[in-house]
Amino acid sequence: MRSFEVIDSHVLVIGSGGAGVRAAIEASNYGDAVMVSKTIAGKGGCTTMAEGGYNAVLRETDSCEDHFLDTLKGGAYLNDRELARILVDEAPERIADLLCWGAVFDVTGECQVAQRPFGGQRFPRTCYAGDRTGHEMMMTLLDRLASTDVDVFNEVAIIDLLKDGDTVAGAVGLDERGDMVIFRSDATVLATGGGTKIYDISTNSSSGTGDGFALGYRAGAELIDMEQVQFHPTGAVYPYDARGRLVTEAVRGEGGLLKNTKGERFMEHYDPERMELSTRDVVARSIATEILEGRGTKNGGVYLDVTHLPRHQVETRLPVMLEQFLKFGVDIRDEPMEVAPTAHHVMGGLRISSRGETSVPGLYACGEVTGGVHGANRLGGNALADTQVFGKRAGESAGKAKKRNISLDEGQIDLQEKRLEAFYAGEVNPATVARSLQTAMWEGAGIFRTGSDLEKTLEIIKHLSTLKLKAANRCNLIDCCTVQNMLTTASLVVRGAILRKESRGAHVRKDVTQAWDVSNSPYRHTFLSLCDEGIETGVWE
Amino acid sequence: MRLKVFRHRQGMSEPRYDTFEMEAAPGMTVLSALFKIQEEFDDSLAFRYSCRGAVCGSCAMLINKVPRLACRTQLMPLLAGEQEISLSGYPAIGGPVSWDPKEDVLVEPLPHLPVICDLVVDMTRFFAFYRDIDPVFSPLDPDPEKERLMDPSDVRELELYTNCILCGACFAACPVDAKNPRFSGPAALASLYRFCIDPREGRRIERLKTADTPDGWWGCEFHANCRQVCPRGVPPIVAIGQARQEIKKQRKEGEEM
Repeated sequence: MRSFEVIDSHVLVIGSGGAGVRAAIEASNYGDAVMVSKTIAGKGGCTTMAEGGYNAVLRETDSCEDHFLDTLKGGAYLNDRELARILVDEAPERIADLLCWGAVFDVTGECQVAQRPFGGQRFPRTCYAGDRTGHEMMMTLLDRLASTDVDVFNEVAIIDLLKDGDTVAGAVGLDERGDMVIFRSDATVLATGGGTKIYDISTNSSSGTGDGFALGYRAGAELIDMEQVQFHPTGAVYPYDARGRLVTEAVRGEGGLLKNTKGERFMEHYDPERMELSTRDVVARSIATEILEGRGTKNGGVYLDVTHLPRHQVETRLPVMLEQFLKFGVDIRDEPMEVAPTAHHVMGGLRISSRGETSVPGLYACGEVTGGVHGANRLGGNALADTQVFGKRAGESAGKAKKRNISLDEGQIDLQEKRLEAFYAGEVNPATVARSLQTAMWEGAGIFRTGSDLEKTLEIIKHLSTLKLKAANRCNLIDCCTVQNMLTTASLVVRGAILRKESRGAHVRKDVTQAWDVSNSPYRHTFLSLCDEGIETGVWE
Repeated sequence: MRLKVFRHRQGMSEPRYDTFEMEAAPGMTVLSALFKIQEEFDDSLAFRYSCRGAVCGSCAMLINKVPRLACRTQLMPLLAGEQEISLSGYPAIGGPVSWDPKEDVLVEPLPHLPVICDLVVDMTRFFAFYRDIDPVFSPLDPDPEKERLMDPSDVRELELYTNCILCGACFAACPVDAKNPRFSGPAALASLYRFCIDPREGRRIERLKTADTPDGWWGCEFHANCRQVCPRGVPPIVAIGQARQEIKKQRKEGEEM
């Protein structure tokens, strides 16, 4: 057996995005906490990439009830009601924390926090810092974290959770040199974010590989609604390198218009009332339909146009967009962008209680790795709020967890050693397997789905899972583990999609005709765990 | 075209350069070229990246002897000589490596930091300088009733500096960092200045004084490399200049009193 280091702490937080850092800050109020990041802390998650904003009810003329109803309607009524209620009720307090910690959000002439309209909301309640809202949040959170005693481990990838009997008792990690690090903790928080890197075209950072879904699943946790994957309507389409990169919803929030090659504002055929500011599932399907029916550009997109807006507005409210497109020779002040849907957010995930507890003792979760908050489609601006509201809750619950005497199970560590050893004797470059998976998922489990395509995709995933991944050296061991996690996540998405025989929110089954609208659906959550799978039934009141 | 890439890892007696031939497609970035190498030529090549969109600051490296983000640096404009930046000289950019700028793109790790593996450097020292400025907001008014109000013009000035993504490009481009291992460096000083001008901050003067040292504000020699290489347009040199002015003003006021 190789030698390894053992790190003990009361709370272990896995992930360093918005939810993870918020959880670590909170947990540190109750005892010693360790935060493990697969990248340099704060650089890896998708929070830092979030552009548009943070939804919070701040004005007398708005109400939490309205935010709740918007969230439910946007979520095709699949949201866990209690979690959605908590989200809207606590989002204002959590943005107040950020402001109190020095975050610089845009302000109005009256020196109040500025808010802009986002899709599917009856009030302009999206707070922002230009189009780098997530970055401003992360910098503030990291600065705050620096004032706590939280021990941060940079560039350590967690490859599996450790259990003591039925209870999660820590995790096994690999550092950047491929050396094993063992973390032992009373409470473990998964805050690993999403996983749309399982698709060919995705907005996610390199960390969006679904590690947390796979870690939780292998540890016995239950996941819900994994079929619900949000395709953001507007991703860049060219050049090849920029494919899938997010074009923020704020572009439409600021007044951007969607047009097909015939110059029509086609949203009037799909949602004449809300037009460009309909919910993301509707806009993504509308764009996909326009492209499929031949009204798309030769690059495979539609136009997103802000040329009618004052140049000054584009420059101050959308500076990152302006710069990103200029870099590829498109001045969005003078010519339209070309956009197409891109895999963005996983609404499904680990089932949690209002306190962030998963179905496995000792394991907590927050942020995109959890399911239920956003139902079948997430409103733009609700994810950043989610990270803060449930990050705090999970961190607090974990902090308050009982201290235990944990025995290290050498057997479990041995198994991980054997898993890693096998990679040295492997045959296939993990990057190749990842690419095959991404193509298969895009083709067979994308915006429009059928039962037979899903079954075929599941077969491909099963086949890819049998290939022996190869690590060129110690540093590549992590890549092999990551690709295994991607395969597990993909199979969860596809299995969920097979189970849900209805179209709801982001999940569209073209082979199913249904007699109900989403608010009267006889189905509730799909669920998947090591020992069970199915779909819950019963109409929500 | 060819990508000429710095290689070094534990066990190698000295670094070497590997050359990879490939077609540069329009819009192709250096990061994408590195992926291609990893997938098709050599899966052991090590480099950092995350967001691919110039917001996380993970992929800063020395490209054609200028610190830049690999994800926002395209190959074709480099080969066409369109993205030349002339920096004030320092040892790491005057090294003996030869390359043909019309055919080759030279990719090396950020200077002034120890190499861990290939293009991956140990950022510990860079982040230590950042932590040393104590980047924790200490509000003037510890518990406001509602929002802590700010004027839009204050927000705009702060944004100049809150845009920093801590990629380390300025640190690697700074001739003073090259010769003085104690110099805080442009990123840390710009971040410190951000707190000095935040109207909500309670320790503005105290913070200004923390860098009133030969290795702080006064270490800068105004080469301006920092401002030239910053991928987010942050001007540390302006922050440093203004901080010095402010200190001089305060000293003068102190004498007059």
